[in-house]
Amino acid sequence: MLRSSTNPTVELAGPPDGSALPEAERILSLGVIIIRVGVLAQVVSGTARGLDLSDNPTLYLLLAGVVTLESVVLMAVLWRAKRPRLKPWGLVDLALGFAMMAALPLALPGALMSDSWIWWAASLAINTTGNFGLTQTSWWWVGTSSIAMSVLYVVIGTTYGDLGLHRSVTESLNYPIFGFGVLLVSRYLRSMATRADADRRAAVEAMRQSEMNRARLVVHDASTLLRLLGDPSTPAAILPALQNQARQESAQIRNFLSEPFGPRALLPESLGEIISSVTTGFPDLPMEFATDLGADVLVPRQHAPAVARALTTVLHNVRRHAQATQVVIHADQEDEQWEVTVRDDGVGFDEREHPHGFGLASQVIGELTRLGLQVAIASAPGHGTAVTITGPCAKERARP
Amino acid sequence: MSTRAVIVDDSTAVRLGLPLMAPDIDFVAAYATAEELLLHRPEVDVVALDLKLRGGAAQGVLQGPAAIRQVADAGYRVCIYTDERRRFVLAACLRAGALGIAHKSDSGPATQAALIAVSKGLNTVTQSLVGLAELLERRGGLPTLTERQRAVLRARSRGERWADIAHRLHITEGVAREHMAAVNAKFARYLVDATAADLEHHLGIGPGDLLDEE
Repeated sequence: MLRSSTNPTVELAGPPDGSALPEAERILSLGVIIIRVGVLAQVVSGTARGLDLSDNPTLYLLLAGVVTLESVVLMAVLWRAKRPRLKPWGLVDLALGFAMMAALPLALPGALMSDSWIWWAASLAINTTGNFGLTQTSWWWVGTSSIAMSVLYVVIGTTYGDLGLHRSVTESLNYPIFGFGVLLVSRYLRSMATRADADRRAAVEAMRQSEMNRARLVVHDASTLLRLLGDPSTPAAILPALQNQARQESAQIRNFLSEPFGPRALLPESLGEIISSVTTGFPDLPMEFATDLGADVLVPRQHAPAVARALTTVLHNVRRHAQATQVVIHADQEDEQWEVTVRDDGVGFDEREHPHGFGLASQVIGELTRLGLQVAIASAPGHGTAVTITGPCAKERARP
Repeated sequence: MSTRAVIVDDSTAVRLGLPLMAPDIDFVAAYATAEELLLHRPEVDVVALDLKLRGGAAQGVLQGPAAIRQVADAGYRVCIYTDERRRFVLAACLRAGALGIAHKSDSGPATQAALIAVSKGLNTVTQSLVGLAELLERRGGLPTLTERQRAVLRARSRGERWADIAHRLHITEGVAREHMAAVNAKFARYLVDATAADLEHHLGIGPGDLLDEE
């Protein structure tokens, strides 16, 4: 109920539509398809020109047909899957590259090897080596396959073709360069996208936690009040004060439900007024006030609500757990800093054995430190508990 | 020899109850009015004096700072025993000559300790006045406090326990209490001696807040 009516951003925690990784994969797929269209255009165009020069036109046409068919199927698969990390297809494509590299000499005279349009196997092999780099994540496999392609190219270029050793070796470097280059770029893109998705999930989770904490903050004190109001053993003498607090809590919950990001309830600004407004809700506590030194200090407006809530929570804790015979509320100001201490002489607790509950951990420490205020909690069994809050004075001059 | 005391309170329950709460003190008499005390003048070490002695709708009853002043002038050491927590009213009691203050809500041992301290001529103040003493010190009204006395006053004003103060300042609890006793004495002395201008300057107390609490 709270979730749906308070903060639309909570919905971000749902399925990660528009995530970066699938988007990166789609772009890589599109890149593969576009480049393959270019290679295919070269194959078709080169084959048309090379048929007349071919030793075996039928074989030459058949090889071009196989390449065209495989390319069309590959593009269709990529278009549907929208991701190029399809290992089987990467292998099929690489195998096609090797096969064409090895088979084309059977259809064309070696002298045509320097004509890359007619001898399209060289371009196709570069493309398939690159695609293999896109479908694999292993440097070893990409390195091995691209170097193997280089060796094959050098062998064919020097034994069957007329390229000579120097040119063969130089041109064969294209295969590892493309293989590793594509692998590197695709890994980088995928890594960036994965990180972006992780950051987004973390941000959504942080937002969700923040909203949950706000909800907890709002209902935390209310739960204590409800328990006390519902407890038949609650002394009748404190019922009027509890009812007064209950009305305030009710108003705050109503504000929270209707206006989650709107202005919070206006609270007094001077430390003395904050203390006074909070402590009137706890007439049952044996409080002793020593607030003169800090009563007139102005607390920054953005801090006042959190300070009031923190003090309320601390006093709720005293009421529920401390069994105190004295609660000293002390306020002071020194060097543009104000300080409030709430110290009870109650049962105390062992901070190592009993970690702070939600109220102290979140409403006091969490909220105040988030605002840049300091909180110190000191307690030991039998030694009572002291909570000291320190913060900066407002820029305005303190009231006279 | 045990401390001898007398109680002056218009509540029968208190007159009967206090001796039970402070068993180490020998209560030699109990009176409903200060006038009765001044009439009988028993020999005691301390007087536990209630601040309000109206006893119903009685008019012209000696009570408040006037009663304190007369009882103190008669040579008694006065410890106010009251529910009153307003600091300036309590300060007026010290100004009128009371040596100490104990609250009726305090525990038996605490009340007994306060009465015994006053019987020895020591000043005792309750937590509600410690904050006022700190305010006075900060505003220059207690210039003769030592650094240690200031440290103990600062700690007590924040409600720190004796044991914790002693541990933190590397002194014994007894020494910590002695420092505070010295602060209380200087504070009470200030209240007795301060002019109206002093009170207004140091504590922001105007005429009527403290001087006219008769």
